[in-house]
Formats: sequence, structure tokens, C-alpha cells
Amino acid sequence: MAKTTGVTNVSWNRVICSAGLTPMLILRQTLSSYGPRLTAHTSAREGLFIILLPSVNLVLLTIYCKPTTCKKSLRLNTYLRRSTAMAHKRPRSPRPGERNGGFKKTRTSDGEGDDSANSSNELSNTSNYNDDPNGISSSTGDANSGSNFNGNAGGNSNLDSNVTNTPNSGNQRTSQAVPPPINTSGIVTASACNVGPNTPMANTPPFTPVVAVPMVRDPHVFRFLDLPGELRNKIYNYTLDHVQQAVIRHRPKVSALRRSANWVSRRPMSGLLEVCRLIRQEFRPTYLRKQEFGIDYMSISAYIRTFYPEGVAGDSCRAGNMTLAVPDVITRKELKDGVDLWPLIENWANGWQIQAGFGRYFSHGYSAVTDGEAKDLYRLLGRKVQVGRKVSSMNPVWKVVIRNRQLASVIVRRYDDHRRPYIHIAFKIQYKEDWMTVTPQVPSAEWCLERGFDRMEYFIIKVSVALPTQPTVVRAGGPKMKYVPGPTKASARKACRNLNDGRFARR
Amino acid sequence: MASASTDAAKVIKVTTSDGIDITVDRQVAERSILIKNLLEDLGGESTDEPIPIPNVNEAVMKKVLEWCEHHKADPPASQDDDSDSRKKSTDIEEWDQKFMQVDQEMLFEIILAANYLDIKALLDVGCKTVANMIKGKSPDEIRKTFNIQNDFTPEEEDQIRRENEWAEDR
Repeated sequence: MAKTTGVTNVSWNRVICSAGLTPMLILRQTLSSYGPRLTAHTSAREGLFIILLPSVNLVLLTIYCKPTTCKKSLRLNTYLRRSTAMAHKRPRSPRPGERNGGFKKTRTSDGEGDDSANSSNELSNTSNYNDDPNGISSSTGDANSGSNFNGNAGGNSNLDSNVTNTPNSGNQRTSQAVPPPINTSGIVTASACNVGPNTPMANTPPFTPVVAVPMVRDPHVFRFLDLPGELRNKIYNYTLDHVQQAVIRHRPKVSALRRSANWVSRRPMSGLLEVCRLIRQEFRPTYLRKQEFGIDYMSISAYIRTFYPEGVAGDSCRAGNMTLAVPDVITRKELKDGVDLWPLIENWANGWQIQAGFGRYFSHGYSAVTDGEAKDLYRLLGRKVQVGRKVSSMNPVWKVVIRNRQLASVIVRRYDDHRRPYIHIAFKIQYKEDWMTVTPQVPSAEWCLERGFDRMEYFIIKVSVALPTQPTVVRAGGPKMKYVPGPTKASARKACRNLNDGRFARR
Repeated sequence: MASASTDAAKVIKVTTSDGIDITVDRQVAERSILIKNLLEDLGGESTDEPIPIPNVNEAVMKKVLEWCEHHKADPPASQDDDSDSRKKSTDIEEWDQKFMQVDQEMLFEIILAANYLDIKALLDVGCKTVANMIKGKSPDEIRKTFNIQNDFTPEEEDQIRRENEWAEDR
């Protein structure tokens, strides 16, 4: 083994070979060195031998070396003996210029874990509506916890009902997919390796030995990343059983504090997100889908920006399970600006599997059935809460609106005085209907009915056209601020009028 | 019932990857759906030919058969086990917990063998054991357990930092 120069130690899924040795030589060397030398080489965590023989046979050998008992690796012994018997029959020398490529093809990822395939984008009737009379909270037993939500008027809604599994890396064991078939004479056949006399590989000069991939093996370490992807998925799912709702807030300083010793996190699996890129990429969609977060609805935009960023590799998955707590007390900030729910709705509608619902912070005597406020908000997700707290199917017209991202903002306005609370839906200018103006106005009853906003219990609906991009200040690499001029209000209105020529009229 | 007792008395042989023949009760071996299907495909004929199990070595096979022996009277696993509510729990019964107290490499091999032999209940126990190894651990502890290197880019580290600014509110 020591003489297999040119063998590059690389990760499992990169089979590199440059050893210009005959199979015979390889096998002889291996067998002769098998024992003490191999033990010396027991950094070999596992190895893959692929040997192409002239009689069409591609021998695929997967060798598992026990780290401490490598010299007794019977599996290695058995297969090498069989292969040697065959190799002895047809020894030959390597030809110059022989190819040694093409073996990666035999190690194709077999798509483990991709049992999803049917992540339909069709909107489905929700099956996630929570019939629990106590509402959303998975922690309804925690009546003493003041931070839990209760009484989800709308329940959780799930737009896409089909679950797509985590895409897996190719870091999987070939041995599972292609076990070396052995016939009774001890010859390893090539049938499972798709190499026959008529294949291009069979026509290429044979004798290209591939010897690969030793890695460090420690008996005290569980080789998690060597598990097939579907088994890792299975483990991820188990780790998230019985998770409780975790109410979270953006508190950078608090998050940095040490908790008391008896404090138990409600998201015990969050550590797995920070182990390595691969695990994060695989685990994050499952984590976000199964770990329920309770978020104050004032913070939802910040939450969406943080957890569903654009352009961060592996972080762009759109799965989630969130419950928005509508606070009873209206803050000054909410009075001034309202709350824009469009980031949530847009993500929810176009997400892979995002469950979202509206609820309240826990309080005694709360009744979700009479909470018209939360039920009205739920209509923004296209569904109505019906008698018995079931939800209607998705409103098809509203579905098109939110799926096609026709809106610029959906601002909820609540007041602490006599003013009527309302939801201000602002359409992007290219999706405006001819009756819409920049000034918010109450749409017709027919328009509301079509979109599921009829007979609202708490809010009224106001609709406007969003002005095109407002002047924005863009941070340009450092303290200097670059002013990017946008259209003025007057020019926006003019543009809006120009669009009122009927081309964009929707009714 | 007479035929059932006759069947129960039957034994079969399996040949492990290292060439060792192991004799085992058919009922025990049939905890493996792979072996069960294979025997059914043979049409119930008694076969003296050992069944080759090329992906499992003797030590692991014996361990797996030990589990099968203990669980031979369990109800058979349904084909569509994925919807089984049993899977929804990370609780592991006491005997299985002790059974899984093996070194990490053996645990790894048992999981792979259970997957290969299609023994869903054993696979579940193995996966639950690994899941419990992860629960509540910090990233560093998990890296140590699995011997994994931190390979995040600065951009990803920054994203993780931003997410960690969201603290649990209690």
C-alpha cells in the first residue's frame, strides 16, 4: 500500500487515481503489504478499489477497515483473494496512455433521500388547522408561562402540503447502492456496474486501477457524515420530535447572556445548524419546518429578513412554522407605522412549506372563536376561518395575487381610539386595476367577496396603488452615503395616470 | 398450527461478508425484510444454500441477530412504516438502550446493516440513538462527537450570528 504513489487522499466522493500500476501489481502489493503495513496505513478509514479487467469485468470493492483491527479486516481479505484469483488468470502490463478516468461515473449519487420529488406548487387545502380548542400552542399545558401564545384564531396554514426532503450531498456510500455481486465461482461480475462489452468504457484500454480514499478513522467517533443521506434525514427528523414552541425576540444582548443552569432551551437542536455547511444545508429546512417559533407580529419583517435571506448559500430554503402573536397593547411604533405583513405573506405564499398562523399572547379567558381580529388577519393568507374553527380552501383569486407577488405592502393599522382599524393593501403599479388610486380607498363589496374579504369582523380593507420606488439611500461601502434619486411623488402619480389607459385594467 | 411450529423450527444459514456461515432460526432471520422476501421468493423451499449477506460482517451480523432474537415475537413491521406513530418518539425501550451501548463504530455498522437488511425497527432504534446523542449539544460538542470540521464561510458565520441574535423570550 505504501507504494501506491499518486493516490491522493481526498474526501470520499472524489475518487482520484493516478497510479499507473497493473491490477496484478496492485493486488500483489496490497496482499504483500496486507498486515503490518496496512496497519501502519490505518489512517485508511475506508477505501474503494475499482479495477477494470480486460474481460469486461469492473470490480468494485469497498473495503471497511476496522481502525483497531485492520490487519484482520476479513472483508478486505476475502475480496482481495477473489480478485486475485481472477487477476492471476490474465496478467498484463499497462499500456502507455491508458485512460484512468470515467470512474466517477460509477459513483453517481443515487439520489438518496430524494423521495420527495412531488413538491407540488399547487395550493392545497390546509390540513394543519389546529383543532385544539386551546389554540396553536403546542405548549398549551404551560399555562403558567406568560410568553406562550394561545387561541390561534386562524390556526396554522400550510400552503404546500407535500414535503420535499432535504437535498443530500453526494457524500454517500457506494457500497449501499452497488454491492459487488459475487457468483459462486468467486468471480466478481460487472453486471451491477453497467459496464459491458458494448459500452464505451469496455472499449477503452483496460487496466486502470483506481485506488482511493483513505480517511482518518477514530473508534470513538461516530461517522455521521458517512451515513447515507436518507439515514441522516431520518435522524434529523427524530431530533425534532416533540419540539415545543419557542417564543423568540430580536435581543442581541440577551442572546449573548449565559442562562441559568436549570434553564432548558425550547430549541435544543439549534446547535446542529452551526456544525458545518453540509449539515446546516441538510438540516435547516427540516428544522425550520418542525421547530415552531412564536414571534411578535411587530417583529415579523425583521424575522423574515433574518431567517430567509437572499443569497446566502444553503439558507434560502423557504420552510417555516411560525405563529404571530398579535399583542393586545398597541405600541407607539405600531400607531405610527402600522405593521407590514407582506414579507410574511409573500414568503408564505411562495415558500416551500411555511406554516403561519395568528394568535395571542397567553391570557386567561381568551376565546379564539370570538377573536375577529386574528380571524381577519388570517384572510390575508387566503383562507377563512369557519364554524368549528376549520378553515376554508384557498381563495383562488387572492392566491394569484400573492403568488405572483402583485402587492407592494400589506399594512395593518390598529388604533387605540375610536378610529376604525384597517388593512391597507397596496398593489404594485403594474398590477393595479383601473379604479385603484394612490389614495387608499375601500373597494367594492364584490371585489372583497371575490378575494375572501367579505364580512370582515374587525378590520376593513383599503386598497391603493403603491408608489414606485421611493428615494432611497444606499450604503456604498463604508461611511459615505450615496443618494440614489427616485421618482418624485408627482411623477409617480403621472405614471400612474398613464397606466390608466385600460391596458392594465383587470375588470 | 402444526405447520407453524414446523416453520418455526426451521433454520437457515447466512454467509457474512467475511465468509462466515451463521445458522439462525428462520423466524429470527425474517425480522429482516430483505431475508424474508428472499426466502419467500424461493417459494418456501427448504434451502441448504447459505444466503450471502455481502454488506455485513460477522461481528455486526451477530449483533443484529441478537436484536432479532430478542424481538422475534414483535408484530411484523408494516410496509408503510413511515406513517407509524411509533416513529414519532425518541423514546427507546430499556433493552434496546442497553443493546445500543456499543462503541461508535459498531453503532454505525448496526445502522448500516439494519438499513441494508431492511429491519425498520432496528434502524429506528439506531437513528433515535444518534438523535439523542445530538440533542441539547452545542455545535462544538457535536463537531467533537462526529469529528467534523467547521467549514463555514465568513458570510455564513455572519448569517448564523444574526440568527443567534434572536433570543428565547423566557
